[in-house]
Amino acid sequence: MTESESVANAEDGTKIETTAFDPRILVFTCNWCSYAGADLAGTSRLQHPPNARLVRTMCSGRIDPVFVLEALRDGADGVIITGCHPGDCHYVKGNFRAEKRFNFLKMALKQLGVEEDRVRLAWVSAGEGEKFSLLIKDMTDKVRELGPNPFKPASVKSI
Amino acid sequence: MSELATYSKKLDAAIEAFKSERLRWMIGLSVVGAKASESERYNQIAQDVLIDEMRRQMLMVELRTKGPLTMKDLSESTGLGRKQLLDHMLALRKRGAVTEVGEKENEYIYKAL
Repeated sequence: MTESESVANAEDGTKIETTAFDPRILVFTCNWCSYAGADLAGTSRLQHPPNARLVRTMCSGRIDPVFVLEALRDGADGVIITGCHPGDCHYVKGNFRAEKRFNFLKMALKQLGVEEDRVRLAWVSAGEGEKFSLLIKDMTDKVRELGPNPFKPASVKSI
Repeated sequence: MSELATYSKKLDAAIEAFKSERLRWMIGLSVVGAKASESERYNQIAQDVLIDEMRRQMLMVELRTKGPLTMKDLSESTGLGRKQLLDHMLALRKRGAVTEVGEKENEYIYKAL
C-alpha cells in the first residue's frame, strides 16, 4: 500500500533513506451530489492530496457495510462514504439509509478495534467543491497520523 | 498465530456477519424506518446481535480454515468461554451450519457444513 521511500541528502553528502507513510483512501461518492462536488473541486482547481480514489455509486444508500470492510481487508487505509445532505437525496431516503447502515458499521469497527477516524461519513453537495477538497485533506492528515491499516495485506505495499 | 492473521480472521468474520441474513434483517428494520428502531433498546439489541453474529462467523472461519475441531480447540483459538461457545455452537447447529462428526476426549468434534 502506501509506504513510499524517499531519499534525502545529509550534510556530509551521504544519502539517507526515509520511509514516509502515504495513506490510500477510498471515497464512495453518490452520483448526484458528492461526485459532482468532487468534480467541482477539480474544475475549480482546488488542491488536495492525491491519496483519494473515488468510486461512484448511484446513491450513498447503495453502500453496504461489506464494501467498507472489504476495502479495509484489501488494503485501504481509510474509507469515506459521501452522499447528498439529508433531505436532498435524489432517491428521497437513500442517505438516511446510508446513515443507519453506517451506525452498524461503526459498532462493528469498534469491536474490531479499528480507529473511529479511519472510516467516515460526510455529506457533500454538488456545490461544495471546497468542502470535498478540505475533507480529503483532513482525512489524509488524520489517517497519516493513525498509521497504516492493521488489516493491510503484506502484498499491498505502495500506491 | 501472527497478529495480522488474527486481525484478518476477525475482519473476515465481520464481513460474513454483515452478509448473514440475521444481521441484514436487523439492519433492514432500521433502514425501513420502523419506529422501534429509534429506541435505545433497539440499539442495545442490535449491538448484541452484531457481536453474537461476529463471534459465530469467527467460529465458522476457524472451522473452515482448520477443519473439524472440538469445543476445547475452538475455545483456545477464539478466546471464548465454554458457556458462550456452547450457546454459539448450539445456534450454529440449529441453523444447520455445523454438525458433529465424531468424539474426542468426551467432546464432540464439530465440522462446518
